[in-house]
Amino acid sequence: MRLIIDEGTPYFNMAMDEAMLLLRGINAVEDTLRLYVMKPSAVTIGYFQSLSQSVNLEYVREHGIPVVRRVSGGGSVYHDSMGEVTYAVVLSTDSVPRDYLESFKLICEGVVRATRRLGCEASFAPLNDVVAHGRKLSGSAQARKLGALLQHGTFMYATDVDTLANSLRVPGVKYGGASTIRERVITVSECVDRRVSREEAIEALIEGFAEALNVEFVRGKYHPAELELAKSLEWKYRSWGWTALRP
Amino acid sequence: MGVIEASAKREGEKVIMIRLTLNEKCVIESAEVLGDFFAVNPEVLEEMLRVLVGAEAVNVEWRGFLEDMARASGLYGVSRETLDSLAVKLAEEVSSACGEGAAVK
Repeated sequence: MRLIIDEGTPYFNMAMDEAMLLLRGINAVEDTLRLYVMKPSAVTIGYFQSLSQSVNLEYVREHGIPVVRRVSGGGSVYHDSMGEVTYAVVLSTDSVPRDYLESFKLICEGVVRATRRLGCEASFAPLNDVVAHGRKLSGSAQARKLGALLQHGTFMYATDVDTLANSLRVPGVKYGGASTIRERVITVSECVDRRVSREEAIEALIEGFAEALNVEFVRGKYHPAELELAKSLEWKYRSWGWTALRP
Repeated sequence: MGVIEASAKREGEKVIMIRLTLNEKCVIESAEVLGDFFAVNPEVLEEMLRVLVGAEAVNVEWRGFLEDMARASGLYGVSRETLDSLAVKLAEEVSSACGEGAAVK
C-alpha cells in the first residue's frame, strides 16, 4: 500500500484528499495512507455543518486560523501544526465493510494501535472516535464516491487544547449542554505524561495502520494526475462560497 | 414569515437540524439540512431538499419525507427514532409559525 508523508496548506490538503478519492474511484491510483501536517494550523468543518455554529469565527479571525469545509461529514476539527498529524486512508470500497460503523472501526483501529504503541491505552468509541481515559483523542470522517472511500482523521499527539477549545463551537445539544470542550479532549502526550514528538507520532501511525489493515507500506509520491486535480480543486477549498456553503 | 429550525440528537448519535425559510403564505422558499452526520450520497440529500421548495410547509408529511431522505442518501449516524423526533419538532415549529394542520404521519 502506498504511503505518503507530507505537509501543506489546509486548502491543498483537503483538495488532495478529494483528488485521491476521485481518482481511486476510477482506479487511476492505488490504495493509500497519507499522513500530513497542516501548515498553518487550521480548522476544518464537516460537509453538512453550519459555519457559524461550528466555529468561533471571531476567535479564528483574530488569530489568523484558516477555516476549510471538508468533503466528508462529521464535526469541526482543529488541526494544530505543532501537535497534530492528520491521516487520510483512501481505499476501494471493495476492501472495507459496507457498513459505516464497521468500516470506521476497521480504519480507526490503526489509530488505536498507534496510540497504544506510544504507551497510551486507547479504544474505538462509536461512531467515529478514538478515546483514552474516556476523552477524545482522535476523530474521523468519511466520504465515499464512485466505489472509493476516504477516511481522514486527527491524531492529537500534543495539540494545544486551549486553542482547540477556543476555535470550535459545539452545539449544546451535542453534549447535553456541557460547556467545556477541553474536558472532553486528551492528547497522547497528556496521556503518557511526556511530550511525544511528531516523528514518534508518524512512526506509530505507520506501524499502527500496517497492523490494523494488514498491509506493508511503500513510500510513494503523488501521481501527476493527483497533483493536477488537487491544484484545480484547491480553488474550491480556498473560496468563501464553499466554506460558507451553509453559513 | 421567516426561518424555522428544528434539531434532534440521541446519545451516541450525530446532530441533525432542518432549517426552513418560509414566505408569508408559509410556502417553503429554501430548505437546508445541517449537522455532523454522514451521508453516502450527499448530493441526493440536497436534491431531495430542493423538492421541498414551493411546498406549503403545513402539507409536508415530515416523518415520511425524512425517512425517504435518509434512505435515499444513505444517511448515517442518525437513527430512525431521532428522525421521528425531528419530524415531530418540525411539525410543531411549522404549526406554531403557520397555524394548525402540520402533518407528522
